[in-house]
Amino acid sequence: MHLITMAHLGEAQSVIQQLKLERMTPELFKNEEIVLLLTGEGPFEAATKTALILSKYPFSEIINIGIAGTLKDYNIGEILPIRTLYLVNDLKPAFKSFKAGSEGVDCLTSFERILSPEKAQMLKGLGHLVDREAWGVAMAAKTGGIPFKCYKMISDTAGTLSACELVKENAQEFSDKIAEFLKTIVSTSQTNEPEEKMALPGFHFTFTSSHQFKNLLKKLSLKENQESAKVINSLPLTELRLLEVSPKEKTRKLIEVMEKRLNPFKAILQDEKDKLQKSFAQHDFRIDIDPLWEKSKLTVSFEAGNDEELQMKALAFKTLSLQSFTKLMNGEIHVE
Amino acid sequence: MWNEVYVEEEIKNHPRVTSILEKLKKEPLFVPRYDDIWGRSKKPYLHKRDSLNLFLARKHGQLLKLAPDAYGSAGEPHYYFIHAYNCIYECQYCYLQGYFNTPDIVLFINHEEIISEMEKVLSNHPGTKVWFHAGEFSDSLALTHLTGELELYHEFCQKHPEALIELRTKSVNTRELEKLPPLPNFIISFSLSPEDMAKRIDMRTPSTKARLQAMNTLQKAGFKIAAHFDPIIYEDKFRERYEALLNQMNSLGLNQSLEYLSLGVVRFTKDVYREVERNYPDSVIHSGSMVKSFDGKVRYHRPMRMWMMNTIKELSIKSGIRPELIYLCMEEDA
Repeated sequence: MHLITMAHLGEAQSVIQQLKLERMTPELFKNEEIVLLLTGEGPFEAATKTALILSKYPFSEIINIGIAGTLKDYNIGEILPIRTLYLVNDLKPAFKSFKAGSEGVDCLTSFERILSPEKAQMLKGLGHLVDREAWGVAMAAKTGGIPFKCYKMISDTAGTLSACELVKENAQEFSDKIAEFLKTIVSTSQTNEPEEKMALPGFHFTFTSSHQFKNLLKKLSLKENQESAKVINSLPLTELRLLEVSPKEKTRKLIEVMEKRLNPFKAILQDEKDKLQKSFAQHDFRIDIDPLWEKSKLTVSFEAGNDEELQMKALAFKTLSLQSFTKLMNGEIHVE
Repeated sequence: MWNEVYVEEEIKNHPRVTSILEKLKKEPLFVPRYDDIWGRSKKPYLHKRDSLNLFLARKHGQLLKLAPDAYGSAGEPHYYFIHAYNCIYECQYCYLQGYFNTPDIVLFINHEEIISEMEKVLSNHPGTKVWFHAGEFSDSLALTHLTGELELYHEFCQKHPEALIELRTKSVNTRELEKLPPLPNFIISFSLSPEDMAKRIDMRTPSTKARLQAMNTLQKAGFKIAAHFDPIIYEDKFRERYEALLNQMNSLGLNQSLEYLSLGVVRFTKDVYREVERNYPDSVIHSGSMVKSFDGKVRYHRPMRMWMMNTIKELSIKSGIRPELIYLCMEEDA
């Protein structure tokens, strides 16, 4: 279910008609898929009203849409996606900002209407548009953990005294445009495709291995600076297909090959660790190496029940060496 | 280039401000204090691409900072001076993306006060060479055609042979520098990466070839030059690529004239790493596996980064750089 928030009934009237929304309260309208909330002006009012409605319906997305004044050279009637929302109070920005999209323009939500050119001038460096409520809706969406989008239609130039009249005069036209636009974005944001499972003939992918494969493929592609398709073509798929093991096992081996190619150090370290553990295990010593390979010291432990056993261990220590470990930690490694 | 230019009211008649504004040809906005606006709200780092603001301000508070251990060559005190915040370039690994709340640039204009602080520091270290680094929070050359402060720092070096100034840069904007006579204690150091890697991670910066050319120009003019291979990032052909870079440097005669070469493997604070992941999800940086290391920073694990530094150190020595001029930057036990 989508929650659409708008500030005023004036800008929402066509939305209510065209989306066939039923009036529930003076501020709330709905159909089966959409709830429209009129928040009024002011960031705190918008935040409070949005937060209150979030507990009542299972929303998958919140869209704030409405009019805004421009601080730059945008055309009246133009609808722009919002990238980031800032709050300004007494012309000073507040710390919290909210992301509404990866592309678009930046909108300042102001506690006051910006009616003087001096004030508008001071805000020009902070954003492209000014509105009165979007930041509050974004804050409620963020708190509720619900995806948030925002679109603004340019209604006037911020800092002009005639801005309010202009908005009133064109309310119907603005509302029609917003409704048309809203219909397109609500229909495109309906589906949320689940991640597709990986498919390669001869291999069997579970969801986990599919995720691992895709992750490794992306990293290899980044590391080798080549497209994923080229990376796949360079993998030993034919050789692995010929192995007389199950498709699931072939996938495991494929992932091993990719991990080694991505991080040759991992295999070297594992190999050295195995050798070291084996040499210490001959005398029933156990060694623990920092799993992050960050600490240049390791822990050796053993069990002894009496002095004789202890002396035996002391003698055994003299035959052991940590030279290979020291070399490893100092980067003395042979990497192809 | 600039979305808006803000100037602190206190300095609006300062000759340096007048000169900068004349060059910018942009009507400024006057504010009581730059930090009434700058950094007050969290502005995403990548917004610098289309809405970068410039602030001209007076730096209050700390003008110099003691550099952390292993910042420069060992045995001498190192400070960095704060003449600007943020940078026009966009390097994918840059710690500035997680350091300030905004990518907007501040140019401080009270260089005389910074220099006076530097003189105080010198008097606290009698008989010792003291390093002053520029370029910790901003590129030290990129905007010098606008800012015009180089002459002051140059004069300071002339007056105080016991002081060493290092200008760290990726810029090839050496015009202002070339107007000054070279000094033995005025060092220009360039951050370098192999050409292919620089193309991938040093966005909106001059190419490695252009940086090497700038080094060559300065070297021929008699300037002291240095290099930083930092950050070193792992990729399959990393040895071959650094070998090629060192050969390029050698062909220009740079390796024999370097004052020093510092090596540093890529590293991030946790916050910066998170920003890098967010800002550059497709960066080659994410192809290597990293861990939380000895100082809490995110790095490659120790055997790998030591191997990388050993490899490059060995290649550097082979290409004619004297071993005693190579130091490992920000690495424990290095």
